[in-house]
Formats: sequence, structure tokens, C-alpha cells
Amino acid sequence: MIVARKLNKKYGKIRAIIDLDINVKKGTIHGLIGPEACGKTTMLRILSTLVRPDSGEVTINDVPLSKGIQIRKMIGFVPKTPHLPNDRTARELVTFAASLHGIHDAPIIESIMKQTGLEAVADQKLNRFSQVMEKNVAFAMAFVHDPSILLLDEPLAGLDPVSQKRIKEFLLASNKTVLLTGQDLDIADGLCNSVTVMKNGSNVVDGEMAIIRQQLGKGAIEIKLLDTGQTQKLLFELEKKGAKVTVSGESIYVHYENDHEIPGIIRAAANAADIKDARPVKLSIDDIFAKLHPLEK
Amino acid sequence: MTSQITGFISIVNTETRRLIKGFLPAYFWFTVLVLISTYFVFAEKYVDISIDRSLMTLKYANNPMTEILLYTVSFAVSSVSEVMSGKIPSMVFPFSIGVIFFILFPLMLSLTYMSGHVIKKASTTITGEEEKKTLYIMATSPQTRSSIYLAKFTGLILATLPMIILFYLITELIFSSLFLSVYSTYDAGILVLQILLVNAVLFISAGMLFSALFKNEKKASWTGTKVVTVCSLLTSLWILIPFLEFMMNLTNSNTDILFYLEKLTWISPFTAELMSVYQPSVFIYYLYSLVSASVILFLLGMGIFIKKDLEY
Repeated sequence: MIVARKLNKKYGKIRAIIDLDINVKKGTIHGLIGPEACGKTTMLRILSTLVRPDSGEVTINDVPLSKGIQIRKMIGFVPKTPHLPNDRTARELVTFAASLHGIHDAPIIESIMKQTGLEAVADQKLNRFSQVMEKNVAFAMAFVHDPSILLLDEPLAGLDPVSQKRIKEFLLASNKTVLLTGQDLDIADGLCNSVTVMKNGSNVVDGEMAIIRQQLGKGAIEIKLLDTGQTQKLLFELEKKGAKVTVSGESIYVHYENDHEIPGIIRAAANAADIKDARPVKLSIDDIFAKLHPLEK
Repeated sequence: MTSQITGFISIVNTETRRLIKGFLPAYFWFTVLVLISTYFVFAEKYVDISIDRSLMTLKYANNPMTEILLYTVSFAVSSVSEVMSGKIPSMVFPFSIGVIFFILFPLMLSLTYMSGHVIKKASTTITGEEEKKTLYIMATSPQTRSSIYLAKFTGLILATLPMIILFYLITELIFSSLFLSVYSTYDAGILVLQILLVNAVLFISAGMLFSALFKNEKKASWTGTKVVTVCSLLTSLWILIPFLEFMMNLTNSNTDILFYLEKLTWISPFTAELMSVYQPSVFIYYLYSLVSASVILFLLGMGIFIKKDLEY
């Protein structure tokens, strides 16, 4: 369980985190979602005891952050881009990470190497590794002591689909408390139980993933017309059918909740106007802010 | 607690192995430097003669160079009759001058080289990892920041040990083969060993302070190197003070400025260390100040490192 209350952190004059509240329940996967420089990484740095907050309270499994050793025994931390000494082999690094936790059992190290797919390359130096393989080494180093809390900074970024699937499956089956970061809600779909959407160092939205998805909708279809003069007619027809429609420039966005609504929307649009182009678009983080906090935009 | 200790040992082990790899060229050049300077000491002949100290008085005379200056004047005066009769005087040195040669060449050069190298390595031990962003591996483990700092410090000391041991053996060799009749080998060897160890601890502490203080590896390394350069320049000035006084006396100049210059040269730890070999009885007084300085620098660096925000 991770609980943060009224957390603040400044770097010089820049306020990286402002009155941030987070509550991650035990055994759940929580997503910390937001654009670049919104304070996600700072939050993970605070939780991993690399940085001290200026004010606020943080507890991990009811242990305050000030008890650094106890906290670090519980956490497994993986940075977005792990920087590892490239003159060492994967096995050496995992063994070193294990030894920092007082673990010297070869079978434990072998098991984690196997789980992270590093078995075959265990004795190769990291200078021959791809970014994906390096990230797998970072995962192995973070998981070797079987931590109860996982802090993962954009864990799927830069990974190939096979590694992404393996990590997702591992996290879902692990029954551990996981706090992961991401730049859009897609990462949270099918993985996170709850999310906190951050903007400018504060939490904008906090809640169960299913409820947030209900509020936001699944996505939108961007429609472009051959004759923009038909726009009003199209809007009238779509709104008559109860669709949520927004216009931006020449594009008309029709929002939907479920994938099975898409054919109906296309049919209705084609009956109302001559369509030049129609394609599904994902909600950007800005769209999410606009939808959840329309006044802010 | 056991995991803390094994983790600490693991960091020390990793750091020492990494440092020794980086130290290999330094070990080689240190050996070359020590052997060449030792050869110079061995190239001269030393006898049991005394120096006529009545020929010249110097105000700031408590310095190895004074002894050399006195001996040179004494030798010149005593050789006049030989030179006048057309003979070339053969130059032999008293044992005390031999020891001064040891202080001025092998010891001074070794101290400067070793200090320059260890401060450079120490000043990049944290900044280097900060720049490479690898420090998070240790910093997110159950090890405390103070134990990481201490482990890195221990690794640096261990990596410096081969240089210290080599110089200790060379000291034993010089004193047992050249000056055995007047100096106890055991005392000289142990004294030099202590001096080198204290010196290494001092410069590693200073280097690690810069490493904790700066965020940039180049800046930390530059500062460390400059500190050693300034220290060796100050000690060189200290060595030259009797010579400067002699020259100023010849030109009837006011030598008061030398008083302040001499005080200034004591900022450099090398001055105290060379003086300790010249007059072993004073070593204990300098030892306290050198150890105190090391402890202050070490604690200051550790305090900064503990409070430091780390990147990954």
C-alpha cells in the first residue's frame, strides 16, 4: 500500500510536485499518467528514496519514507531508461543487485534470469545488449529480492511486443502492489486497477480505471468531408442519434464508448454527407484533461 | 543487519575491482617514477661525515634544503685547497644528505603522483556514477547513503594500497642498504608507511568531498587536480625557502616576507609529511592535524552525499 498526502517538491524555483495525493491499494496496479514533466518521475524518485520531498507525508505499507532502509527492502525500482555499467555481464549485475539485499543463492538468481528471458545472454557484457535487453536486466535486478512494492517508470516504453506481453503477464500474476507511470491511458488499459492523472505536478483525476474509462469514453472517430459545407448537416444528424461530436478545423470528432458503435457512426455519417476520410483516433492526454476538466482548457 | 554487511562488502568488492582496473596504468607509471628516483639516490656515495654548520646561519633554517645548502658551502670551503692544487674533489655525501635526497626525490615525487591520481579517481567516484546515472542501483537498495559512501572510500583506499606497499618496500630497501648505520630501517619504513596512508586518506577524503559537491565529473576532477598542484607548488616553495633566504642575504634584501611565505607553505600537507621524515619526532603533531582534516573532509562529503537528490 502506498499513501502520499499533500506532497510537495521544488527544484530551485520549479515546483515539480504540488500538494499531490496518491493512494495505491495493496496488491493492485496503479497507473500514474501524465504528459512529460508533469511530476511522475519526481514522484517515483521520492518513493524510491532518491529524493526527499519538501513537505507532505508518504508511507509504504505503513512505513514512513524516513525509514529508508525498511522502505528500500520493500521496493523494486525500474527506471524508464536504465543506465547500467556496460562492461559487466547480465549475471554479474543481477548477482550484484541480489548481494545488495543480502541474497547469495544462485538458484534465485538463475530463476529471475529465466523469468526475464536473460538465460541465454546471462554471460554476455551489456555493451552487446539492445535497449530492450538492458531493460530486461533492470527488471531482473529490481525483482531479484522479490519486493512487495514495484515502482516502474514507463515500464513498457521501448520494449518489443514479446517483452511487453511478458512484463504485463508478470505484473498481473504477481499480486504485488505496483505503481507504474505512463504518458497516456493506453498503458493502463487491461493492466491498471486504478489511475492518477497528473498535470503540472498535481493530480487532476484519481480513481478506479473502469470508472474513469466510463467518464472518458473509449475514443473517437475523426471524419473529414469532401465538402465542408455539409458539416452542419452531419452534426445535426449525428447529434440526433445521440452521438457526442466536437469540431476542430476541418475535422469532426465523433466520440464513442464501445467499439461496436463504430459501424453505426460511419453509416450515419455516410448517409448525412460525402466522407473524404474516416479514422479512429486515440484520446490524447490533452483530450482527457479537456474532457475531465473542460473549464481548464 | 547481516544483509547490510554483506551488501556493504559487495559494494567494496565491486568498487575495488573496478578501481584497480582503472589504476593499472597508474601502478605502472608510479613504479617507473619510484625506480628512477630511487636509482638517483643509489647513484651517490654516502659516508659518515658531519657538516660544518658554523659557516652560515639562516633565519628560516628548519628545512631539508638548508642542510643541502650548508653542505654545499661546507664542501666548497673544504675543497678549496684541493682545487688550488689542481685536483678534482670527489663529492661524497653525509648520511643526512642522503636521507634528504630520499625526501626530495622519491618521496616528494611519489606523494605528488599518488595524491594527484587518487584525488582524480576519488573526485569522480560519485559524480561519474551520477553522470552515467548508475548510482540508483545502490541508492535504491537497502544500503544507506553513508554505507555507500564509506564503501566507495574503502574501495579507493584498497586500490591505493599497492602504491603504498611498493613505496614502503622501496623505503625499506633504501634505508637498509644505504643508511642502516645511522637510521633504523624499521622506524623509517613504518614512518613512511604511516605518512603515505595518512596522505592517501586525506586526498581521498578531499576528492570524495568534491565528488559529492559537484554534479559535473570534469569540474570535480579539475578541482581535485588543481588542489594537488597548488599543494605541490607550496611545498616546492617551502623547499626553496633556505635558498631564497641565502640569495636575499647575499643581496642584503629584507627577508621578512619569507616568514609569511613559509607559513603559507604549511597549508600543503606535503610540507608536514616531508618535514616528518626530516624530523621524525614532529610527526605525531602533524599526524593529528592531518587526520583531523581527513575526518572533517570525509564527514562533510558524506553529509552532502546523504542530503543529495539523485537522478536516474
